Amino acid sequence: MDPFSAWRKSLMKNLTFLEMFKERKKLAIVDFTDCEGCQTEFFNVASDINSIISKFDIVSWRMTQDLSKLNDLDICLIEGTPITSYDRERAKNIRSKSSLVGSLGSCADLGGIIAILKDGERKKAFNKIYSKNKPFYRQVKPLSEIIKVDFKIPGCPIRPTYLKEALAQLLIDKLPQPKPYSVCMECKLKGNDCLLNKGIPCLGPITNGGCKAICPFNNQPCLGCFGIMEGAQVEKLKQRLIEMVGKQKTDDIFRIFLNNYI
Amino acid sequence: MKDYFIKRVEGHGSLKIDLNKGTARILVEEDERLFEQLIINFPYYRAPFITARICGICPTAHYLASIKAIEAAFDIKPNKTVIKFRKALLAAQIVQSHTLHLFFLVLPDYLKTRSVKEMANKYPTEFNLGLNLKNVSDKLVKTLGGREVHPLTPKVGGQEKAPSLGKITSLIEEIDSVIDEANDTYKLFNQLELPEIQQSERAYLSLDSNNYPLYQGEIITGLAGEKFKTSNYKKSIVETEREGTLVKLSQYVEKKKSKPIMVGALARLNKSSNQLENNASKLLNSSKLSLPSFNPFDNILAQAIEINHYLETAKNKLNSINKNELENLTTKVKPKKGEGVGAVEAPRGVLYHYYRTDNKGNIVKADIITPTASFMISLEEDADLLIRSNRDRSQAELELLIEQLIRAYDPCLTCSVH
Repeated sequence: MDPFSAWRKSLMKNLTFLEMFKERKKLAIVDFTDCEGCQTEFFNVASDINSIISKFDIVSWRMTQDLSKLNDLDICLIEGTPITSYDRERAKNIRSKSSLVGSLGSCADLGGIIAILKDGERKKAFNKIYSKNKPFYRQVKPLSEIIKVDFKIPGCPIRPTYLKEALAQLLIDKLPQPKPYSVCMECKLKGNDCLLNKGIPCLGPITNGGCKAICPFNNQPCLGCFGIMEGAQVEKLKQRLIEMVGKQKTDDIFRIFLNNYI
Repeated sequence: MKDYFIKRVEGHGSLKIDLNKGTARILVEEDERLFEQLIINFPYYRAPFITARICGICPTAHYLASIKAIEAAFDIKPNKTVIKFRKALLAAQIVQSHTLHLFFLVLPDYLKTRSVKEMANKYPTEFNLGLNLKNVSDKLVKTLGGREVHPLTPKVGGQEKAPSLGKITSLIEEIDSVIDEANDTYKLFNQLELPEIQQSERAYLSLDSNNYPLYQGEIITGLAGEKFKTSNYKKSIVETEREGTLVKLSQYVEKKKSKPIMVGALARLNKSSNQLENNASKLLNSSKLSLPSFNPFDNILAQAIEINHYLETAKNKLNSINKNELENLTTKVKPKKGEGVGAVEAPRGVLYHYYRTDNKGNIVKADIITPTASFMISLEEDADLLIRSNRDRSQAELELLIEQLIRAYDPCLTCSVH
């Protein structure tokens, strides 16, 4: 007996989500060192039944399928940062098989949360955690310093609406562009209380928008996970923050996603 | 370049089966991220934010364990409404993770499909069932935690942006709208023919309190009388390093004898089935699961039952919140020198965060033990057992069988190397 027969029938009328897997633009999702939180946002976007994902043909995605065909790709989204020489080679190989490569999330875009430790600090940190294993040579850097990256879907984690928008653009052969405004702007539009005005250090003024100021909306400062906006006055904000809360707290807030700017 | 990673598990791993020796080696191919050092010298309030990023599937569990550890170090007791919110949030996180695991990682194997893509085409009902449940658990986590992945609003000592009573009511309606789906999920997984092996000598551990294991409790107990305080976990859970893997493998140690650990849905259910919520309890009674079960494949069915249980828990917690409770949910935090352990039930089992703070409240020492690192030895032993008891099968069949075992455990290889 099929316990779902009635439901199956009603669903068959309305199976738009099946389009998700028709022969369309070939999309691959590949991950390196990270938490895999950004790729789970695809399930979030997919739960929208007329989902934009349905317009793509997902040919490779380790989290969902057995077969991996990383050939003749139209688009490859790379999540995580390749920190070993082996992974860097894998990244280069994937680049050569895909017309477009995009970074998915802050790890690929900026180096991500693990870039809190600079390369020179990793060995010492490793030895504090492990005694038997020997530290390896690892380099944590943005994907764009390893291979050419055509576009980015930033954030830690990425935002579902941003992902949908980016996919819609890719569908009509347009490259997703960074928003031409800062988190600060989105925060004002939302009518949030300014954290800086309350004396809480926040990177909203220099960070690329697109997150709809989700952190400040929840009374948490912006930590810059969308990356620095083009033309942002980083030094000016930094000076202002140092005057406000001192160097230590200013460094702390930059260290999480924008360690290179300390 | 060949992509040889095991498919449909969280994180990167590979499998090597040696038919002659009768062994299976599961290699965790994750690179170290050094989280226990990443957070050193950061102020306490950044620890939950940073450590949540250990895992994108169960960030809420890490976030809450981190908060719990800091509150223990500072001797803070948040008010009871905050605890209700945290329990509802963690319950929703477990439903979110179990759903992802059961429908998109486990189910394709049993429907004899090779991928989610194929499953979606051949079994749209099941696929959509999973999406619906995922959708609602995402909404719960988003409303209660501020974001569907990597929460924002729970904080040390309290809760930012608590949802309004109207939002709470609509969340309860959302839960009600998928109760049938949760029930169907149970039916679906109860009719699967799961492989069978019998484990022996395991420590089935979970958090002990008056309720089914979730957030509260400072003691860990096991099926065979194992018992220790979470604040003393380092004496009972002993980590060892093995060359060639960056996972610190844990074992339960009592009187100098060590046992492999089982944590997660089956371990919780084995010990605490009498504490299940009403509906889930009824489902358990009608299921083919007989407890205690020592078959790791039963973890799959245990998760399906838990989806029903935790949805009900989340609903009950939300239902118990009154309008007048929703104000003043944050307390002033006085940082101090101290140390504390926060242990919670992550979807895959008990998760420990330990921190030591200096007098300004900066993190000076940290230790984290994840469920996957806890059950890795158990998984390895079961894989060998499975090979030995299925010698007549071909290499390809064995590979699939071992992969099914791995998926039944629901390992988070990313978490295991953190």
